Amino acid sequence: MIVDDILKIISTALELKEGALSIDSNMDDFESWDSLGHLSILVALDKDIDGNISGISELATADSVSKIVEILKQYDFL
Amino acid sequence: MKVAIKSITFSLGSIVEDNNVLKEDNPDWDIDAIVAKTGVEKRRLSSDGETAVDLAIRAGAKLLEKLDDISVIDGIVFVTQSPDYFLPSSCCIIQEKLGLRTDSYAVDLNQGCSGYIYGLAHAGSLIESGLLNNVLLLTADTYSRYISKTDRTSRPLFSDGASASLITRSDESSISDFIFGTDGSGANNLIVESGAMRDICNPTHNYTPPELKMNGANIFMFTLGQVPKGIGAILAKSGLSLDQIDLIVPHQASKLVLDNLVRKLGIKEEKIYRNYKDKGNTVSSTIPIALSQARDEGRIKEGSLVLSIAFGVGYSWAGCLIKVSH
Repeated sequence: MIVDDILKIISTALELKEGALSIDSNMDDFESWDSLGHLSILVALDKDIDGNISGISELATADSVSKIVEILKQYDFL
Repeated sequence: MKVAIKSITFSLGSIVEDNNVLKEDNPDWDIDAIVAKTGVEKRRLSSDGETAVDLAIRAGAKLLEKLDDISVIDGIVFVTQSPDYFLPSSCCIIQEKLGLRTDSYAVDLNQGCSGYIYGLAHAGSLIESGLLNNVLLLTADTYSRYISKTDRTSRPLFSDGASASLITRSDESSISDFIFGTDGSGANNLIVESGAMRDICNPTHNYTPPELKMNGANIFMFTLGQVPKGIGAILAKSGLSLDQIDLIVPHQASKLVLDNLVRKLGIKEEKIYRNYKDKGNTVSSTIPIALSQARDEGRIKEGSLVLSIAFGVGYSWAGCLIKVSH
């Protein structure tokens, strides 16, 4: 899995237009990335990543794309 | 355990609140997006002057009406996180109001979402040990009293309700394969911080009304991992497979949690029971209410094997198998 895959997963979860999300994006940038939107991201990551993210509690408070990517790298999903 | 759940009754808050009320109070809320996660279209709220103890007494009275002789009840276990007072225990008030024996065992059990299963284990152990014969297990909460009208995480979800179950001795092992779990590292993710001793002892303490704070994302991650594991632990303990379970009756946390449980277990929808749509999340009462309704709807009958799992505030979780005996 590569970073672009994560961008696609998050973008789809938040129902964003293609290209709207980048590695520099964070929660404040999109109306749909509120607390409910973040739950959608967590579900999408759990579904689409070949592995179990439920043990990665840090993802619950990761409020930017770069933080999510960094955490997934730490756990060898990227 | 050679105990059985002989009867279940329940009582809900007097006020019916639908999502139009949420919208009126909070015009900027996207109600459709909220319902897509919660699955809750109506909640039940306690009215002015109506406490969890009142709801429990109502549920208890309904159950006692079915008995020829209420003096058979020699124990009360009352599960609540919404007591009438810090002291005395609410179970004492309930004993008096229901006219139960004074030579009876009575205790409050401070647990939330996991409370019914803990209560079952407690009541069942008291009976199996020979200390008691018939326990009235009551659950009740009025979480709505702790929730701000503008709290988008909690207000759409929680309902006020109570249940009463009669737990009795049985010739066969009807309740079995309990699992329990406790992880206090999650304590701050669902908490009412003000009003009790940790707050009162604080030298900078200023009175603020008790208010529920829930970190939805942290709670969700906890359920995503722990609930399937808990079900796995029950199955491993019993030596059974999911195919041999007639119905899974989980704590009715929310649509989001149950949808993901179905996905992770790889089960068909008819294998799981849901009733949060017009009941909301009644905390420790969700499971007994669900069991009662599943029976009324014919989803379970005498002899059915139910797997029940409860999880939430604490973090605390528990589960067991229940063979329906009545």
